[in-house]
Amino acid sequence: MPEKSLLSKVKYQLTTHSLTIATFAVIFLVWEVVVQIFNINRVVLPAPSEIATVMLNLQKGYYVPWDKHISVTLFEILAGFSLAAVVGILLAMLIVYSLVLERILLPLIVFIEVLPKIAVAPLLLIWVGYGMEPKIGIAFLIAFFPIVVSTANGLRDVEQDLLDLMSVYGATKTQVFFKVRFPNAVPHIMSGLSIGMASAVIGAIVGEFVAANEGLGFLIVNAQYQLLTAMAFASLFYIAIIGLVLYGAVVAFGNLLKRF
Amino acid sequence: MTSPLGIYVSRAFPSYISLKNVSKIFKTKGGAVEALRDVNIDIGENEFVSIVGPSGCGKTTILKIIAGLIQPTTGEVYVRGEKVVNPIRNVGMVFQSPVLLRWRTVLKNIILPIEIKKLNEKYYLEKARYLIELTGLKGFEDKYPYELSGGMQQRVSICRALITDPDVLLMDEPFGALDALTRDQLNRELINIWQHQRKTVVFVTHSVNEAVYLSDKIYVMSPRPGTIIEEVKVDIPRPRNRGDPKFVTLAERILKLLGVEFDA
Repeated sequence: MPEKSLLSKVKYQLTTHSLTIATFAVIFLVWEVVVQIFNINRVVLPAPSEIATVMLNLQKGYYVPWDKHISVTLFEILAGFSLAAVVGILLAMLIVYSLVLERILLPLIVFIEVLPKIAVAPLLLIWVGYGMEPKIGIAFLIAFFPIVVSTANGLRDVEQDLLDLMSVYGATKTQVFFKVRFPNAVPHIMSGLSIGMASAVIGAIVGEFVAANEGLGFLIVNAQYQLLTAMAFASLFYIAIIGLVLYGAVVAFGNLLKRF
Repeated sequence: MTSPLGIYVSRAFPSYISLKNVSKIFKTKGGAVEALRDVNIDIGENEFVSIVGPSGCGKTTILKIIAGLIQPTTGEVYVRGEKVVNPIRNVGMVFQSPVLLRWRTVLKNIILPIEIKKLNEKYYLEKARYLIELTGLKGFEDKYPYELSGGMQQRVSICRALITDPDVLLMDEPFGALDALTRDQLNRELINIWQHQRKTVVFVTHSVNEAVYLSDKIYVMSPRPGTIIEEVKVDIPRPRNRGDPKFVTLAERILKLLGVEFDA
């Protein structure tokens, strides 16, 4: 009965999505109505309609090259995230496989994690300049911790009975890793990656706040100086959209992996 | 050699598996824990032997020592005449939980040992299908473990233990987590399998009924530190009937050995 289950699946998806859409629609509607009725100053709180106008560059007086800023921020996020994924998973493997390396690396990793990244940003600027590099660096620094921790947990979280079984089969360390530990860790890694992705978005924006001349974070700072509140909101919405799409992509990738 | 019952019995090794004066002390943070004291066990080839005893008496430890997964503190272990110092080969293990790989199908789980040992997968796929048929898993080859009941998962785990055709089968309370009906059914199936492909089986359980139903010989253990209280031979022809007076008398005798506080 695959047709039936597919139908119910579609129905379920539709119901949950329509609820999400309805919730947002109601929020924006109330927002719009409140702004219009109480005639709220647009510098304090612009109406959703005005924000949408700016997002689509239909406003009068100024033009925002969204494509340029979005692609800069997107690149910083993806570069920082990819670096964090590779380094995070490798570090987790080192930690799990060597007690000595765990003792050396773990305190360092925790030390980096507890540092407020915004306070590290000026240092990165001094070291690697004012381009995209420090933003990628901060995105990386924020994103790699959850990836290391969840990957290490996943690699460790294997039943002793299963490891005993592998020993009586004479499995090598490599076989235990590829046949048991790694596949076992996949769900953990995916949850680490999804948190890491959300963190990388924050990291890139934080980096742009400190010093930048392009990117969505830069636009928000710029909008603040010029009191272009609608532009700040428009940037914020673009950041949210990027974050949602990227997070969704990681989750979708994880679901895809589940099938194999 | 053929026994009067028509069952093939080989006695190539008088003791196929033997533990001689085995003791085990675990060092924990709370101090040393004496798990086993002076355990002597002798198991003949193709013999079905059970170890019964209260929880925490070291039954599982004995199994792991036979498998070479842990070393005894004192004493010696021999399997097939060789002293055990490393994990032994050509052995099948079944645990209380099925320990299946959740990302692999039934067939892929059964074939895992073959992949690890890098044996001819084509040949063993045939064998896997035979075992699947034998254990009533036909039609479930491509299902994932979460799609199966506990009893069926345990059947998969038994198939995985049998796929390499081991001559020794170590079973650690394999049916302990199952309901009584499934348990009785799997008991019957296990005996059926054992009679078809003779193996030396060491079966750990705390169900006296199960032990009497299955075994040629039962080792009764005391609470920690685990010692062997008695070695009981089961001379009841198979198939056994759990209501048979001989069966009941023997089970009662073992229960008595285990003491009144034992909850069976």
